[in-house]
Amino acid sequence: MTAHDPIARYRLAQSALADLSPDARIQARRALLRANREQVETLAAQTLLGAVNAPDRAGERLLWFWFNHFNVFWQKGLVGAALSDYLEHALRPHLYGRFGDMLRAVLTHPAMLVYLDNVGNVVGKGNENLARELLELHTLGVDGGYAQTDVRETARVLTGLGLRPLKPGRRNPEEHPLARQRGEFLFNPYQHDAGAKQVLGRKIEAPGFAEVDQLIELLVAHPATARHVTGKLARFLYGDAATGAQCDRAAKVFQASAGDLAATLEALRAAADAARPARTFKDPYRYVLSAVDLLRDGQPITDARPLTRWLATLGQPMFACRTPDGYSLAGDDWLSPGQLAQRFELAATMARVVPRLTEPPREAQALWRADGTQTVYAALTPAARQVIAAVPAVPDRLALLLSAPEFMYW
Amino acid sequence: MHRRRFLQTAAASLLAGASGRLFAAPSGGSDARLLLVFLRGGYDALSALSPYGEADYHEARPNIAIAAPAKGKVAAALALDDYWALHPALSDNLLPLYEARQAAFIPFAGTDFVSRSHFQAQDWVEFGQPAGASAGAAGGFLNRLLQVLQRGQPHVDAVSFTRALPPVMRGAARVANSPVSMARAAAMAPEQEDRILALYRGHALESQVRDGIGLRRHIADELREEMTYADRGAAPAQGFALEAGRIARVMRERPQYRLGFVELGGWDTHAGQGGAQGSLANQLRGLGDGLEILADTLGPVWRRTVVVVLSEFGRTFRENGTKGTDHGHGSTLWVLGGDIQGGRMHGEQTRLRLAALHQERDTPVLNDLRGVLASLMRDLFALAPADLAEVFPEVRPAGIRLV
Repeated sequence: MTAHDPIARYRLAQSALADLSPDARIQARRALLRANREQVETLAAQTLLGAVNAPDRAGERLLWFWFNHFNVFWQKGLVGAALSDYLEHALRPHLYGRFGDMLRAVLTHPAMLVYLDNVGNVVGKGNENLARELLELHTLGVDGGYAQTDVRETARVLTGLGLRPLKPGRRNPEEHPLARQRGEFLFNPYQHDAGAKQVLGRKIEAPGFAEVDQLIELLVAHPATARHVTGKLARFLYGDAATGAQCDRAAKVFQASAGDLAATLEALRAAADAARPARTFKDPYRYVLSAVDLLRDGQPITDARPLTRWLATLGQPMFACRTPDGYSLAGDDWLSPGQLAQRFELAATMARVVPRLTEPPREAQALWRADGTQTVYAALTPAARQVIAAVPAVPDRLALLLSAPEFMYW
Repeated sequence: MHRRRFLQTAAASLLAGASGRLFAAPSGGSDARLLLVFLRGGYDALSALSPYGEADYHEARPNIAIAAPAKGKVAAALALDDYWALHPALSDNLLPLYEARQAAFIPFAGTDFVSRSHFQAQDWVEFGQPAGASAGAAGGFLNRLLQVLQRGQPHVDAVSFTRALPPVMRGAARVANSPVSMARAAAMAPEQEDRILALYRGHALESQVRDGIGLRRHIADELREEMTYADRGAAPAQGFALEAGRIARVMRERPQYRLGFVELGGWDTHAGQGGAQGSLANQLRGLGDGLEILADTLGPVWRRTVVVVLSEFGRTFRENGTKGTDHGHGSTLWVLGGDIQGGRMHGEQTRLRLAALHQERDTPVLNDLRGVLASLMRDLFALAPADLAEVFPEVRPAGIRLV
């Protein structure tokens, strides 16, 4: 256990609470939550800064997608302290790698194991939370053809995936020949159900952690996983323009390549060239980032903290979806009267604030070009342009651009 | 105002017209209101209402069962009848309503479609279609109810106190939505509002834009009012209790809002849910406090209001290895209102023993959710059979009289 590992540090602080008086414990717990909140806010701002400024913005946005696919919620236990490691070690290395490798990294990460309660899933005392969401959300999809018995059997395979014990016990599980460990993660063979199991009609026989590998292999190779995962990717990248044929082709590539994500992305792109154009209502993430792009006018921004607040206002805060399904990728799910009204209110704020976030800071006044170089302005109807051109104050004009119906879709 | 005090003064304020902005009921139609409170995540109905006399219940939940009622014991459940008992966290808020016959429960309630997926089960509840139908295409059942009501009374509206429009409110009829616990957003200047409306003139989103701006203005008005009354000595409400007060004021002062929706998360208690105290107890207390404030704040309108509290499914009869419960099937529905057949259990019942469990793990469903809601809506809004069939296709209304 190293002091610079934030997960270990959190666990130590958490276990130290037990020695405090009740009042002091409440104070200490609040302080811990506050520290977590600050860490997560900083991380959210950093991540958004990358999605706005970084040379590989597409990669940063893919990272958002995969976090959302394998969603965890920062307020539960050590999850907040583990978020940065989860992003950088479980997700980012695999963006263009193998889906199975990402899945293994997720299933062995303290963030996911705590979030979906697998730390308590031990032989004889099961908890099927992670097992169910693994099948329903992460791999096969809800119509992927599994039954309650598959959930139960999957939960048995996952027994023993948890955390290192904080206090030494009678026997040290880390010394067991079948133990696996990385940081605070531990596969504890003593807590693993060693009995025979059957998932989706296939026997899982390998001993210990090799069962998890077998399960991953089985799930990655399943056609329902290929359909589910590529379907979500297609929706994220192409919105309502994604076609069935495009998804089918990419799913075939996913399956044939055993979950090669670079090849799957390439297949989606190749098939997308022929896709029909369609307009998709932006989710808050796309809406805010596109508004910032318009207002930063080619300059990098230096501070993304306001962006985290704006996303929260529109109902899609970073790293803060409580439920394991993540945010909806369907544009229409975000379209509602309340969403529109809140965007209008926010547009005024963004038009005022974003120009001051750039390096160097600018006045909103400098951003107005009536010659149509602002593509949104050019896309407006003549009537709409007339409305905007007649407005005296430039920030009001910019807010109207961000409020226009044309700007709500991508 | 405290519940008990309100019950004493309710009749008087009804005559006096407490709010000063009271309205006349539209002629030729019911002026009833229906508010749906959705507990997302599958709340543990068997903690909220426990079958306290069943040995199987206490054996199946050695760490988290709510202790059977006992004199002088504060951490025990409170007997409602000779079988069911209420969670102690609901003693100050929900129990008085039950005793005033303004709350009723329907155990063994649920869908005929078995899904242990939160998201699929929630959709299924909200679409309200018969088993085998293609879910979703016809929107949600509250939207269909709104369409039926609007045929008789064109000025009737529905409102969803949520950031996004939930599936139950989606469909052909327009519904405005906005959370009530929003940050104080900058008020827009009226001329900027007019310009935005001009940008959307003739656009497919025009009516949604009008609805959204309108509802935001209503809520902003209520927030301003709240500030005026804020310091009367009472501790400021938090969480759902805070939301419930605002929701009640919006609905009380705006008679067009006949259908409402609000949701609460945090019910997916797989681990460490606690018993008489703990995380689930806190959740239940927050819910109960909110419902009490809702009843009080609705004031004269409470008698014409029905609140339904439901969840997508119940949880396992047995506790799991982490002192929580996993996804189950049958649940318990709550119905509240100023003029309902309260103070009792409704619907088909059986003894909740191991031998009676659905798939040996869950509360069985004896009262089909669609049937229960259909009979409630029929009686509340005086719906004809054809209208009812539009809201819930192929439904057989339950033989329950709730209003």
